[in-house]
Amino acid sequence: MSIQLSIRGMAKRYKTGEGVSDINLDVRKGELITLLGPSGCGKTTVLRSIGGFLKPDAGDILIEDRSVIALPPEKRPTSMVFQSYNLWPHMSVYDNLAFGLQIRKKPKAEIRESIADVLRLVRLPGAEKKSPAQLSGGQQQRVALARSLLLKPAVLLLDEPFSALDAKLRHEMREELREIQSQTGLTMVFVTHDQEEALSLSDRIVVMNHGRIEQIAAPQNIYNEPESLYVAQFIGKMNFLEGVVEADVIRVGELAVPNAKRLAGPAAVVAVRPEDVNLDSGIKEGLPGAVKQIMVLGHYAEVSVNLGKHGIIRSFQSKDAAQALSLGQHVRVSFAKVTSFPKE
Amino acid sequence: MSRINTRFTALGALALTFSILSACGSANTNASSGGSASAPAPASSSASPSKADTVKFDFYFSGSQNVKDLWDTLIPMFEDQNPNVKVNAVYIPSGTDNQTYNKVLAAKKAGKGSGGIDLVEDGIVTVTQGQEDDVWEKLSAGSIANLANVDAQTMTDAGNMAIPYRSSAVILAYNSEKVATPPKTMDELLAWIKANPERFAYNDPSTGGAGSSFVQTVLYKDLPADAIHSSDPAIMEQWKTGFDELKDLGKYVYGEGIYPKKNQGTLDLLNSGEVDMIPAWSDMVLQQLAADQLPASTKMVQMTPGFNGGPTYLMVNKQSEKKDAVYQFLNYVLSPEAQTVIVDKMNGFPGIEVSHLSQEVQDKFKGVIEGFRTFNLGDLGTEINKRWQSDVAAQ
Amino acid sequence: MIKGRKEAVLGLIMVSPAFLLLLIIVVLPIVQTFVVSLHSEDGGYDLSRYAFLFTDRLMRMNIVFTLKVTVISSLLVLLVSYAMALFMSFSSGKLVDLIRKTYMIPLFIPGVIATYGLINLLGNHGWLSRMLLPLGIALPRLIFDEKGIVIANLWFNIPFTTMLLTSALAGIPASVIESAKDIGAGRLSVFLRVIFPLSYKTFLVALTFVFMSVIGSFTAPYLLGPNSPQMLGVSMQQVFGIFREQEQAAAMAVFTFLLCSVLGYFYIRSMAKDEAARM
Repeated sequence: MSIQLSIRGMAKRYKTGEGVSDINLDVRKGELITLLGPSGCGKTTVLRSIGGFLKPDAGDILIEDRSVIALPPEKRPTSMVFQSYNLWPHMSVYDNLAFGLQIRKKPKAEIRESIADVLRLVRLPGAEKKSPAQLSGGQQQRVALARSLLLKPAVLLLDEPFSALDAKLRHEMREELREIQSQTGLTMVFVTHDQEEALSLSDRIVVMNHGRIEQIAAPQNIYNEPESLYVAQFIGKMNFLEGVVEADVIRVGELAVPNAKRLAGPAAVVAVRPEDVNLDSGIKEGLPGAVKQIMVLGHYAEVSVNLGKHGIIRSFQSKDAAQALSLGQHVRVSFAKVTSFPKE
Repeated sequence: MSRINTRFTALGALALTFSILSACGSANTNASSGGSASAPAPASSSASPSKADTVKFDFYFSGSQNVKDLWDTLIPMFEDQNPNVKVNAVYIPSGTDNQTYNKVLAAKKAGKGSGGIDLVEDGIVTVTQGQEDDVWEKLSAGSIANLANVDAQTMTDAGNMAIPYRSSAVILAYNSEKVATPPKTMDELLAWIKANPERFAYNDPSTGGAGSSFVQTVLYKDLPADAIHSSDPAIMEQWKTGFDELKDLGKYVYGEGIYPKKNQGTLDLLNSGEVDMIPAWSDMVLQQLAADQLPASTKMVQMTPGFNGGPTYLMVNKQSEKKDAVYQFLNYVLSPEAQTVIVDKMNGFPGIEVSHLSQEVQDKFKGVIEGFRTFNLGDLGTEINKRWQSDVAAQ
Repeated sequence: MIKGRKEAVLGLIMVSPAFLLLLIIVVLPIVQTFVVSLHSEDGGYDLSRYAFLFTDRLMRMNIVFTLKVTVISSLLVLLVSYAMALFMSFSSGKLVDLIRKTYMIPLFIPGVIATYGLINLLGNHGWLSRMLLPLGIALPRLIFDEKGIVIANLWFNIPFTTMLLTSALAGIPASVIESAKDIGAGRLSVFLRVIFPLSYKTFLVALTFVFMSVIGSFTAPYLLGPNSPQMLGVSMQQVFGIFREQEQAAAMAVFTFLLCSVLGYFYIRSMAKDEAARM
């Protein structure tokens, strides 16, 4: 597939010292890519630079192989859906939607038709005459989305568009966005600090930290194979244990896990997802520990086990398995799957 | 009992004198030289038998800064010598002139007594107006001893209801570097204006006496001499030639028909050299010459027959309840001491006959004080302004 | 129910001082002035004083002149102020900083002093003409002319108007403008379709302020204006203070008040429309 958006060596530094550097990213046509990271990680800086609202200090941005770095926002083939909707309060929904098309000198009949179409697409048919003040937050964001969709941008930018909505609505909107994307085939860059949102929505996720890209990968890969300790920490739940490198294995107490990354050692960090932590009471292998807490969370349970000098480890167990355990019970802990990182 | 009272009065007066002295500081350096001899015995408790309280009356005056300066000087001098009277002077900046009169009249009509105004300073128009509305008290030498020093004719002119405490006249002020021989008569002046286009200016007559005097002098140029004392509307028909003259003059005056606002407006033009000749008030010219606000080459000349000149009057509100105190003040204003201040400070002509003043003062006004005429047109002055506005300004 | 009534009474009590003040210093004087203006010359009551406003040649000239100066001044003030406010709100740099620091200065200079300053600056032999003289540029007559009044009105009204408009522009979120740029609107479109409509109400308030302050102005037109025609304020003073025709002056005052009310009407109407839209 062809590359729709390409960011090359972009850097931007603010007076406060924060900023981004060394940003390199290729987005394929029709892809939905998410910039994920905590606030202040630079994800919005990257997005606003693509939209033309910020001027990077270095690097280039290409859209459809054409550099847009020198263009002001109004000349770029991008469109942004803002966190705060940013509808024009003095215009009706129709006027909000028509403005961009009028600037592009589209005939009136065509404008009317495409507005009706796009309102249907965002599930607000017939809302033309309403004023933004009469709409709920979710509806306003749908109009804002429609406003951008109408212009068929080469890249659609979404700046935490659903963060102001309540949880239920947020879920709905995610699904709708996914559907709209599949219908329109638009290339989208989506900024969020919500990992669940990123995991559920994206074709690929760009995890950012302190102005740098930590990892770019599909959601499953990000989850299963975090490339850095930071990503491992940031995405999903993870147990971290200290280990000692011994050639091909990393030893954690009595347990040895394979040194897949051939870490040099001497110390390493072993990361295990809670669902990969096995608890057995009958066997002799594994790390010895005592059940400290059992929390039943619906169909599964989170069991905390005290490993003594290795700290506390969390394990996801089925409800039945958890109920078979009792507090203080001695168990042996083993891992189905681990990732390892050099100790920082 | 009465003796204790007397003692208290004297004591109170003394304390007050002291406090005023200390409060006024340097403002009354003249106080000692003026001496208390000329003033009626200040602390004579028999004159104010009732209480030790001082009487405070309200005095409204308006005009330019020089008028304010004058009263700022005279009032402390008076209060020094007359501790039983305090003068609350209220200055109404010029441009808002007749609001004082309106207040007096309104208070009278509403039956509210003096309306907080006991003494008013203003020109002849307000005097006449007040005569019609019966708001001024008739005055006599019986209550104000120094009134005897005032020219009897001027007192009669004002129906004995107003004291002409100072006066000044409109003269022709000119730049002697540009004008070698100034015109002496109105005809000569008109000829000069036409021969020197845009070098003469007179101010909008409704904004200042200098301009209005020029207008009136032109209007009455060829009318009988005693017409200037008549307020009979019948004479209005005879203004036509005069107004035609003024209309025609429009294209020869400054800016081909610009009439600056206020007396100062034309003086500014003379100062900046934009014109060479203007009608102006003698006192303003003298004062600004002394302050270097006019070039030293500025000279003055009175016309024959002269421009309008006239006194500024002090009127006592008939409704006032503090007339005794006011009379005491008026008596002081007419004293040679106060009149000398007027002459020095205002460059004004004294309100009392010059013979009562020092030789020095008599010399200063020798030949200048004569020649001006007092126009007493009453309401006709307003009519002239109105017609000037529509016929000359808006021609 | 009782609580509601209590609140209503409390509300009335709290509003009443403002209402009384309004009644005493605004409503009553207007009524009084209106009654005075109905006195005819021969002691009766009629509209002759108003008829005079439109039949007298001088008065007609004054009214036309006043409207002309007011309209020209208002347009120029708003044009300049809006441009300055836009410049200050959406640009940055040394020049903007300088303007931002200095544009309020005229507000702190007393009117009479400023007017005399303008006379010295713009007069026939004023600084400006002296500065331009070596360049061979002769100024048209500015003082004692309507141009002088207009210039003075600019001086007096631009700072406050700019302040009003700047605060209105500051109230428009940058993001709303960004989103307009985002959909491809150029500077002009952004201004016409977004910035102006969103600051329109303040614009109307500013217009009302300027209009009223100019139409009722006295000092500047008195000292800088021509002898005739006069602005209504100057003429009113002359009729009231010099000609002593209280009744005629009252009619002029009421007429001026009516002129101002026209603008007030537009303002209130737009407010009401807004209120209705919010319901």
